[in-house]
Amino acid sequence: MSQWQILGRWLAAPPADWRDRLVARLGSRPRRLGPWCELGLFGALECLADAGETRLPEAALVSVASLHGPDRALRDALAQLREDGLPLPLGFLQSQPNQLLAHFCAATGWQGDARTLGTRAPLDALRIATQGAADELLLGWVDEDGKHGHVACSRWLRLRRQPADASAAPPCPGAPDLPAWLGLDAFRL
Amino acid sequence: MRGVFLQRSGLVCALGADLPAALACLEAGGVTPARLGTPPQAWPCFTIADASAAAPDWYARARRLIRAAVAQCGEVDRRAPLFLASCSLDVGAFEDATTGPGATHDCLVLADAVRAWLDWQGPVHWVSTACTSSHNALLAAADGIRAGAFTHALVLGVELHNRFSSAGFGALQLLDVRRPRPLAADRAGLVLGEAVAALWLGDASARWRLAGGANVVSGADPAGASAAAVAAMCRLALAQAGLTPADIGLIKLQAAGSPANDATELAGLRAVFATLPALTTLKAEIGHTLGASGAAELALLCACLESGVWPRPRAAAEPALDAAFASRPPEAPARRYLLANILGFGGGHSTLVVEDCA
Repeated sequence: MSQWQILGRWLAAPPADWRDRLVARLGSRPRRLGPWCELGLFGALECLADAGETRLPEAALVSVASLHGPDRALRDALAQLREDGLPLPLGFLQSQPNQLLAHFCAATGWQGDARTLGTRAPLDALRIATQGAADELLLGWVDEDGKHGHVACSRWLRLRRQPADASAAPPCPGAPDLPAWLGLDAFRL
Repeated sequence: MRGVFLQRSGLVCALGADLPAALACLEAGGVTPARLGTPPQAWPCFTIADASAAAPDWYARARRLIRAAVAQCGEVDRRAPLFLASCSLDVGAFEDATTGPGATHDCLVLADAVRAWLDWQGPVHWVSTACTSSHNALLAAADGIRAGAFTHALVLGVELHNRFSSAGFGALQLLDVRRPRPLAADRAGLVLGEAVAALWLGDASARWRLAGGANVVSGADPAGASAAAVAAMCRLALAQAGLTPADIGLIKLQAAGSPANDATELAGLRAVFATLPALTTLKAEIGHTLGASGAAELALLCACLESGVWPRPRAAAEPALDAAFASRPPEAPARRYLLANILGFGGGHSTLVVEDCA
């Protein structure tokens, strides 16, 4: 079991102007990104800003969990496939969840360990990430506002492993949408 | 910290229905990729030659192939975590439906199905990082074993043919229309392949030890590889394993036949290795099996080294690359440590350091 300090968080629902805020963070309107990727990038950059960072440490791990992934981009690309026999190159790329990782790297000038993970238990992504050797984590739970009642979310936590002798923190709360996360500075897992 | 060992493995791929069959086929000269689709969108593909390949029930075929691959691992503890690695998941099941995937469909439908098909009791996670998915699944599983969170894990790489992936790579102009020609002067792209690979990992000593590994994502090119990231992944993996470049006796390259990425991979390696060790590739034999490739190629590579059956170089390397594939496996003890690379679109670069403990 390790203890983790929460350096930054973005746990709120995406505000109505989240795309404008993403443009402000990036300095320009993003190009070649699908909607899921944009939403994920928005939350990741807000979380980094909350931590007072513009770039992750070199040895950090980025882990993004999603239940539906880039669903709209996939459906659009499949429609192109059925209509034309070929998806548009950009549409195919946008249907792949790992594009968020590459665009996060490009946006922040960072290069390192990053992955996307799907699991029905949201905290499993946190458990798996904390089992590794990385002492610096950026974890996201991203799902777009889809056509089938999915609720948009882009929740992120910026975590740092604390030394073993750190004062005892409370245990990890449940799912990342619980308000218990908001008042927490550290947790054990 | 506990060691992580490959206890047993299973593979269903274009070369055969299991590892012995694959080795026999490889020794006999391998297979020619099938040509799927209709011109101008008819790309070759290393398909699994099973009788129901053309059957309309995608899930029934997936169930049979996945059960067959896992069965090759023998008795496994179904309470262990299962890491499913796949790029295209079950898109082949609904790509032709005019309505697309169902309203309630999500990314875990295949994972849930796998759980039911295998009567799996432990947690099932889906790892998706495109071509590096299996490596990242393996690295996540190894982290858990080293940390003592669990003693065993199953990594299951699954990539079955679908028009969407073929057309997507075709649209990106990344596919060759012939057998892939890694490192050759006239290489023109990759050829996709099907595979289901099962790796049963555990902390008990076995012949193959996962000594280290690294995954490096770079934003330099969302569709291609970066030499700096290749070098970084090698340095990180070697450092984790406590090794130097001179300790590596064999590198299983990504080398899919891409005009740009094959050269980029070698450039990245040369930034780390003053002299390149023996090189090999498996993509000219089973194709690029995308999210399954890391698991499929590791299973096949270990089987090749155990048996002495070796993928013969199919084309001379481009002279400017100043590299060549080994025509036979390196002898022990030079091959004690090997590096297995997988690079992917989306900026993914991953490698494993594997020790032959024989």
